[in-house]
Amino acid sequence: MKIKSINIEQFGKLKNFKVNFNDGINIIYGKNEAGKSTMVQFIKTMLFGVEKRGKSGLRDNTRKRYMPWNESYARGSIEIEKDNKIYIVERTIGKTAAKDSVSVIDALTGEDISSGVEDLGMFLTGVNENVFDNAVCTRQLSSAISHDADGDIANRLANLNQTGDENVSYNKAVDDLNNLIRSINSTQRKNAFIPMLNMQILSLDDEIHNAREVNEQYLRDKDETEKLSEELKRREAELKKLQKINDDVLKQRLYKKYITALEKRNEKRDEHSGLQKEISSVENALVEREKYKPLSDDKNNTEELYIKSLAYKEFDFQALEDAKLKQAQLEKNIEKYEKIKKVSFILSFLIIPVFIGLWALNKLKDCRNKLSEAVKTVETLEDELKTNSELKQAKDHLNDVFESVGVSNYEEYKAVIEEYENLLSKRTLLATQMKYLQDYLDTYENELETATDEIKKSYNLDEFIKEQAQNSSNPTETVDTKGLEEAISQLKERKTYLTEKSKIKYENMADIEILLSKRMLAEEKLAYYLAKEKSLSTALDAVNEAYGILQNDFAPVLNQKTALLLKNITDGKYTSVMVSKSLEVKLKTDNGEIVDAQYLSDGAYDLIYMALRIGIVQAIFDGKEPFYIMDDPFVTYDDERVKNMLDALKHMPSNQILMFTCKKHEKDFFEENENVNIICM
Amino acid sequence: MGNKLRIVHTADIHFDAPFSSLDASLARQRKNELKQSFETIIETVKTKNADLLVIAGDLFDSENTNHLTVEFINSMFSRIPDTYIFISAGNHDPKTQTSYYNMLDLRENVHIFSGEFEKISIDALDLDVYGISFTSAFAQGLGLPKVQNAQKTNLLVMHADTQTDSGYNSVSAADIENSGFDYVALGHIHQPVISQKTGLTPWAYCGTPEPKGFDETGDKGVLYVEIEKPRVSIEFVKTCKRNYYTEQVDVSGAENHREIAEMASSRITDGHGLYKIVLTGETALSVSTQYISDALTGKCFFAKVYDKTLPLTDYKKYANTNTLKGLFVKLMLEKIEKCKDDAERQICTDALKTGFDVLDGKEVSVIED
Repeated sequence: MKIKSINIEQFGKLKNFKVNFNDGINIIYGKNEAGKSTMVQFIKTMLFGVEKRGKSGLRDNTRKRYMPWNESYARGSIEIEKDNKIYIVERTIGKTAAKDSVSVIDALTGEDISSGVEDLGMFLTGVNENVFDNAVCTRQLSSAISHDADGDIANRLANLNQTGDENVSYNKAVDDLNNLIRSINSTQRKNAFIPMLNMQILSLDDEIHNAREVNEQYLRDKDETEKLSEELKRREAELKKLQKINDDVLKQRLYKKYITALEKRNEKRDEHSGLQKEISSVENALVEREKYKPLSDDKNNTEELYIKSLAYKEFDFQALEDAKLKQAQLEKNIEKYEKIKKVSFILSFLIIPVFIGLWALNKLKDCRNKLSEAVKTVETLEDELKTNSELKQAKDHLNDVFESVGVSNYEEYKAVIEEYENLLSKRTLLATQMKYLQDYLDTYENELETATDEIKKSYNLDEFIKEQAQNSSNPTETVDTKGLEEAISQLKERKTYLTEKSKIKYENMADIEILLSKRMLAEEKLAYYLAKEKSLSTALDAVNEAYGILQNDFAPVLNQKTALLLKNITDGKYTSVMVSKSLEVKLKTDNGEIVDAQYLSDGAYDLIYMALRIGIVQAIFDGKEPFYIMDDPFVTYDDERVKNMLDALKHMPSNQILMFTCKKHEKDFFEENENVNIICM
Repeated sequence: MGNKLRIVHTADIHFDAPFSSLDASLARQRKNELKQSFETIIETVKTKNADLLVIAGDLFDSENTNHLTVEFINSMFSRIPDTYIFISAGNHDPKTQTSYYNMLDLRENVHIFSGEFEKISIDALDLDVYGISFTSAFAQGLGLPKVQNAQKTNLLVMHADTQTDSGYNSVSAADIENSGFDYVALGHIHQPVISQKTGLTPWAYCGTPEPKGFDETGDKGVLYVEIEKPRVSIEFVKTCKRNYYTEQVDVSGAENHREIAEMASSRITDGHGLYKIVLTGETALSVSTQYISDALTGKCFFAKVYDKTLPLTDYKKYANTNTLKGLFVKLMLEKIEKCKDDAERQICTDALKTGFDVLDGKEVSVIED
């Protein structure tokens, strides 16, 4: 493509401005603010139009920025030669996209082809707007003056070589995408989103599972508690029934005990009163026979008297008298013989008297024997008399006694006394009986009291007796409730356990739906990141695929074009540029040597850069007609570098170069060259 | 006045179903609000002096049900001992051996329909209530019962789908309308739907009383129905504590995030609401949903921002050049062209956008807000 001419009706600060361009190099020289950049933008706008929706700032908004002052439109035309055809593009840029209009007239046929072409810029230039901006239309070349420490220029070179765009780094893009993917999903990174979310979901699943189990357990416990309550109710009712039976049995027993005690007590009480009566009658009888008491006491004496009275006989007083006389006689004889004796003794010297004395002695002895007999008889008779008087006295006494009780003889007396004494012993017997009976009575009285107290402890006595008296059934055995009570206590224990458990375990039970909400949120995030991971992988694949295509199809062309340029501008010193995967730029010299670019001079670097830049454009336009627009490309370069570059430029084969410059010496550099079209603004 | 029948019709409460998009603390708050909503229903029954409360299924959300919820419902029911409560179990809470319905206090005034059509007569109200319950998660068309005594007021309660062949007791609207009932109280659809055609049986879905997700926008509540044969009046009574909103916000032309935030913010009219803000349109900005979400904090109960904007960049103009970017764009555009569904297209469009930005050397964030 070539631009034959431009015709600016009004665009930015330029008005009614017309320029023709030649093939080859066109130098457009003008001072700053002369409108060079406006002209570059005009060309671009004519080819590609204005973005439909403008960016915000005035500087970035083409429509606003290049709208002539106080005007409602910008307009102009451009004449293009392409594939041996001439097209005249005329565009009007209105205040809004709706006011824009464009026509592309085929100069030969006069036909407007604009409606049949989707992308006019692409159709006319053969490149898209992006490439036009980045490669074809070069504003300042790299501002770097030397290959800096950061390797900026080296990077740009590598980028140009690898991606065709000095600002796009394949390696960085791949690294960036890989890092993004790793930040989302990586087995190495624990904080990568996808494994983290998966873990989270797994642990939530666990929690949900547990919560469901707890919930189910709760329901089971609740069910069990309800069943327990029913069972407990049933068992307790049963127990109550049994307890009632036992209670009745105990009551009946108590009643029986009471009644038995009462009956016995009453029986003994009756006996008691009978005995009492008997005692009274004995007592009365005794009182009536009180007079017998001393007799009774004197019973033995009386008997003695009786016996004595039986022994009494009439006494022989004569015999006593006779005995006494004999005695007195004898005593007189003795006295006489005594005197003889005495005298005999005194006269013992005489013989006669001795005989007399012997006789007297003999006589004395005989008398004394007879006296002792007589004394004995007297004594016996006197004793007899004494006894007889005593007996008489006794007999008299006995008769007195008989008289006093009104009996006439001893037999009668004896019967009376016996009767009395019988009464006495009967009294004693009755007293003894009474004592025993009293003991019995006391015992039964006690038993009755105990039973009564026992009843009174729990019941109203009268009611109890009344009630039990009506109960005719006999007390049976009590039922053993121990087993039942034990079962109830076990049921209660289990119930308490469940209640306590439910208090502790279920009060703070996790809400399943909250966990599910958390899980849903995690799932949403997971879905987002899975999609993102897929999108990043897709992007990465596409970048790699594009790189592959570029390396296969584009790189050989680029290398070939660049090598040619490089040869031209370095007088054949370097034959090709190579960029390794690690972005090291190397050069091949004509003798096959490989030189690392970092050892090159600044000037050599610039040249390689230029060669690559232009090589890219040629590669892009491969087989078509490349053209360049350079807007003050060397503005930051020093004189030496500019000269170097301009020199190189002259050696570049190309269809058309529009180089805008504000530097006079750049214009002057080409002045003497007749192939160069110099336009001064 | 004397023989006017008053009914409060609710369904699809879905107690203990999860709340989508909300974190645990907001979900817990919503859970409580759902309870409050149910309390409001009970209060409505009281203030309207309703004779009947009918619950047309999905009171519970199946296996998620918490025992405390059942206790809560029991306590709520105990507040209206003089109101007849009729329940038809739905597909989410079918009446089974293990159903939570077994845990409800079955007071004299509460009746849960079985898996066969039943008719319960209330002579004092001159009323026959017909109903049926789901007994599993799915039910083919259960049909309609025959009205036995047309002189009485006849009511039908069931969980059903008026769409054909849904697997959730499909029944056609036409069949309902010609069934001879005075009112058919339905559950299953979460949006209120009221059909009253002259001479035909009126039927209605009351909808859920409290919404649970962004697919349940609009006011939610119960229906208050008055029947004075043959006149039937149906009134919607709002019970929901909060509304869900989905707002498509075209952010084309916004020059920065602050403007996008303002555009989104201006769409938030209900400070209590839950908002799903979907950013659409074309923008050169690489939208950070995090930024927008943060900017919306405090403007409403909850806001979730989705970025569905399309890049302003006209990728086509980058294609067809022998540069990495050009080839990448070309390959991606081809892929997008071949995408079989929206999800795939979304992923490929995102890949194009992300890859393009990465190639441009831009910082790309993949973090979801």
